[in-house]
Parts: sequence; C-alpha cells; structure tokens
Amino acid sequence: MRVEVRLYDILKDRIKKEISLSDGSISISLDESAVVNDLIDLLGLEKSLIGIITINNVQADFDSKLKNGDQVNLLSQMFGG
Amino acid sequence: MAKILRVNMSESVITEEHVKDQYMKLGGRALTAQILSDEVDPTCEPLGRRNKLIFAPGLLGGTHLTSASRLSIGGKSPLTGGIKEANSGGVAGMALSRLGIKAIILEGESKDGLLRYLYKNHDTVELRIAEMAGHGVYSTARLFYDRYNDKSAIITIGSAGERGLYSAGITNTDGQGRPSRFCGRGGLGAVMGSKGLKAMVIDPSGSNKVEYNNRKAFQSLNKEIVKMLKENPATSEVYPKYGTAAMATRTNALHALPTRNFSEGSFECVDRIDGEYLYQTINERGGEGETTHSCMPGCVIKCSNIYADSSGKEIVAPLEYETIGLLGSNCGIGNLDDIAYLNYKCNDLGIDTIETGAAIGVAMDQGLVDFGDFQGASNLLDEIADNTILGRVLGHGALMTGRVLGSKRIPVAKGQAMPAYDPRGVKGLGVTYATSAMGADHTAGNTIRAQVDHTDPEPQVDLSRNAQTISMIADSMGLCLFVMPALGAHLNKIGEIYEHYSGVKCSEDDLRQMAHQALKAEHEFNKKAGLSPAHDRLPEFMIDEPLPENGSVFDVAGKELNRVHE
Repeated sequence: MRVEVRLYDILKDRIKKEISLSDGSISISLDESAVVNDLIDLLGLEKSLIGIITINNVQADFDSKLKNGDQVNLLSQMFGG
Repeated sequence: MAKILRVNMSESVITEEHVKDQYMKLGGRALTAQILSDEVDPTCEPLGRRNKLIFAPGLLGGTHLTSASRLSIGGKSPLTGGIKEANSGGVAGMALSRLGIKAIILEGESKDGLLRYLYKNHDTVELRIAEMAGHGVYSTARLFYDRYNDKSAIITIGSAGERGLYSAGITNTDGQGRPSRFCGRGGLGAVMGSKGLKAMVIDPSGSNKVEYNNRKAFQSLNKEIVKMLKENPATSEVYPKYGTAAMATRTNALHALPTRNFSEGSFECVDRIDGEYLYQTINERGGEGETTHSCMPGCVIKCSNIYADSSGKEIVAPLEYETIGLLGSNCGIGNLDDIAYLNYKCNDLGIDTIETGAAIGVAMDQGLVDFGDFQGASNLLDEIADNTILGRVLGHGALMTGRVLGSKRIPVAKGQAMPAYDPRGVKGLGVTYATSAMGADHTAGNTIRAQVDHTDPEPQVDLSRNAQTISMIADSMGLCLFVMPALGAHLNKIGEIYEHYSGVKCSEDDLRQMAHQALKAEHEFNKKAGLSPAHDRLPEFMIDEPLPENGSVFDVAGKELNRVHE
C-alpha cells in the first residue's frame, strides 16, 4: 500500500538523507500490515521526537494501522505557545 | 537581605519591609498568591482602593540560571472576579532581583488624580509625577529612556490601563528596551491604572544582591541544565528556529486552532501563519527582522523573534502563537503582516492580544465586521484607542462584547477569553480553563504535550492537575515554562539548583508541596470572592456545538471537573 506523509518543521531535517520531500510531503510504500511505528522507522525518525500523529485528519498513535491512501501528518513535540 | 517594598498610593508613601519568615521560601506566583491571601479582602472591588497589586520575581530570579527571571504580577482580576497572576519574560524580574527586592506591594489609590511612576535604583526609591498620561507603551518607554539609564527596566501600562479597561495588561521591556513583554492577562493593567501608577523605572546599575550559597555547585548544575536544553529538540530546535508560532500546525492538526470565533478548529490559511512561514518570511526580508531572540539576558532557548515588514523595518517583536491564533485565525485573518500590525496596536494601547482577539472574533461573529477583514479589525482597535462607547465595550474583553452584542458563542472561562487552544480539541486544557483559579489561561496547565487522545475525556482531569502543579512550580521559581520539555521529568534538578543558590533544602516533593499549597491558596481566595463550582465550567456552546472537523464537544463531566480541587 501507499500512504501520503506530511512532515512539519524540524522533522523534515531529521529523516534519512536519501529520502527527499516535496513541500514537506512524500508518498511511501509500506507492507499491508504496517502501523505508524513502521512508517516512522522507515523514515528514520526517532520515536521520541514525535508529538502529534494524525491519519486522515484524525489523531492517531504509534500503533494505529495504516491503509492504502491514508494521509498521515507527523509533528514534533512542543510544550505550548 | 531581600526586602519588600510597600508603595501606598493613597499616602504617596513607600516603606521597606523585612521579608516575613513564611514568605522566604515563596517567590513569583506563589508569593503573590500568599500576600494577596494575607492582605486583600477577596470580596473587594478589583479596581477599588482595597485591592492590591503584587510584583514579584521568582525564587531563582536574578541568578545565572537560564530562563529564570520572569516577573509575576498578581492581584484580584476585574475580568475573572478572582485572584489572578500574569507573568512574563523581559528584564524587570532580573532588575528587581538584583536590587534585592522580593516583592513590591502596590496598594491604595491616588487621591489627587495625578498619575505617577515609581523610580527605584540602588539608593533611591520615590514616586514621581508621570507626564505621559494617555501615552502608548512605546512612547512611554522612549520618554523614560531619554531620561534614565538604558539598563533600566521599564514596567508600564498603556492608555487602556489608565482608562480601566478590563483587557489591559502590564508590560515590561526586553534587553533592547522594547516594552512588549506582557503580563497580559486578567486586566491587571486596569488595576495598576486604578491606583494611579503609570509605570515603574527599575535601574539595577551598581547593585547585585544575588548571592549564591554554593556558586560552584550552582554553576556546574546550570551547565548541566543548559546541556539538557541544548539536547532537547523542542528547546534547541523548534522554539529557537520557528518560535511559538510552530504551535499553529499542531493545534490545527488537532482541530484546536481557534478559527472564526471558535466555530471551527482548523484554518485554511494555517500554512501562511505558522512557524515555518514566519521563519521563512523573516529570513527572506532580512533587515531588522530576527528569527530568534531572547526576551531576557542569558536565555538559551530564544523562542522570541523580531518581525519586520517587506522593507525590513520592524513591525513588532515578538510575534507569538497566541496572538496569531486569536488575532489571526480566530478573526479569519490569514496574513502575518496584518496580524503583526494588529499586535503592535494592541501592545501600544497596552491590551492583551488574547482577550482582544477573542473580543474582535465575537464582534465579527455578530456581524460588526466580516471575518478576515483586517482593516475592519484595525478600525475596531481604533475605537478602543479613541475611547468610544464601542471601543470601551471591546476593551472590556470578549465577555462584555458578547453580552452587549447578544452573542451566545462567547469563548471565556471565569470571564476571561480562551487562548489559542479550542478545549473541544485539547480537552485537558479545557479542564484547566474551567478549574484553574486563573480562568481560561493556557499557561496555568497546558496538557498539549501529553501522549494521549486529546479528545478522550477520561485522562484529562489527572493530566490537567499535574500540568497545573508544574505551571505553579515554574511560575514560582521565575522559570519559563519552555524549560519543561527538558526539565519536566527532572524537577529534582530545579529543587537542587535552588538549594545551591539559597542553601534551603528543596526536593521535588518540596516543590510539589509548595505548588499545591499555592494552588489551594488561590482556590480559597476565589471561594471567598464568591466563585463556586458554577464558575468552574465552560460556556455551553462548547458542550452543545461540535467541532465541525471531528464532531468533538467538551464532555468532561462536571463531577470530574470538581475532582480537580479534591
């Protein structure tokens, strides 16, 4: 399956060097059984960096199952504004 | 030896007092809460002579610890009708600490109708006539710097505070003399104005009464703490590079970014007002703009910024997330230049951008001006500046505006406007808004960092309680909340460094106990002021109107909210 991932601010600089983004986004191919954790591993991101995950604009977590065509947003932790 | 300055405006008398034993281990917010509990009748009128205003740096104020010299100001709030503390960065907290001032108690009210300012340096303290009545905060600061040492901290109100508007805050200067570090919330600027005090000029030159019990151990631990901040991605990368504006994408993702008077939780123009766009814009324009800037000397986080126009000329500094959320998306305004101009105008008047953005949002919702109409919003600020009836209504904040205009969607808790987190999207903050003695205040207990489903009502009370405790600890030590991504799980280090500074033993338990007592003191004050569980609730539209994006309503039950105070 393929999912569309959008990364924000510092996460763009933290992914594996060989992955290139277009406007902060990338289409990623994953196993059918993949969960968010697998996606984060594939991107080379440290789990502890991630603060907010959404799938199709609904908050999700590291164990959330992915399905073909999902739109995933990953944002790093902040303490507030 | 630290002392307390008592400034009696009725008699124009200033006295220096020894610090009572029970105040020695309190600072910042906890100290303001205790002094108010001891000295102010909770039933008093907020803008009457019986209310007092307490200015206090935190327990670590003036030390070399990074991000530790915030200034707390406390009093009974005209907006909430309860106890209120607002704090900010800037240089005033450090200046007071270096002069050995643990607190200033401002009391009484001027009897001759003349506006005064307090001048304090290492050997002089006196009230002087302020000839800058009606001036904005920027020209007020300039006039003082023409006259006094540029190392002085200026604490001032704008014309709104002089006129008793409930949205008035109290600002102080940053390291470059900009009077834009606001203790903005709760209408405390109106309390200062009601006393007849326009400003304080605090010149710490030639004085440093900050003495370390164990300087070597302090410096060593300070180094360790700085390292922790430098290794944490939030404090070393997100805040310094993108500023607090980076919150916009996060709240937008959670459908908690106030949009068009809290009728929606995500904004179609978020990419034009978020941290990345802000960073890019400041960099491209160059000139006076800076993407990172510290509000107080020695801060290693530097989350602040200087926002410049297309010609590179400074519009406002800083441009922050809460302002972007309330004067931006909440008003349907998706242009950073427009938000920056509105921000500058609010600052100059001396009004809180959160309260004002919420008031304008309510006015737009009621059809006074269209959502997204920058010029219309700017004109409404001119009404406040011109002191028209409409301006006075708006200047009293969102609740007054909503009542006068007949709105049923008024985003307030305890009469104070909600900051830029819709409580249906981040329910832990909804619990804080509802139950904190502070009213709707994101700094009183922000739960956004918790790794939970923010729309699940179940864990939110416990999360909020802990966050409220952490906030009280930070606010009482004089620490910026933004050290907490690195230190939140190591509170013992805060106790330890205080111990190295003061010689007073201080464990994490001691800090938590101090915080619980202070939170209890605030709650007790409010109970005596007449606030009840009915005030610990959010407006009903938050319960009845689902967020359009995810259908979420604020559904933390009343009996659960009551549990916060158990």
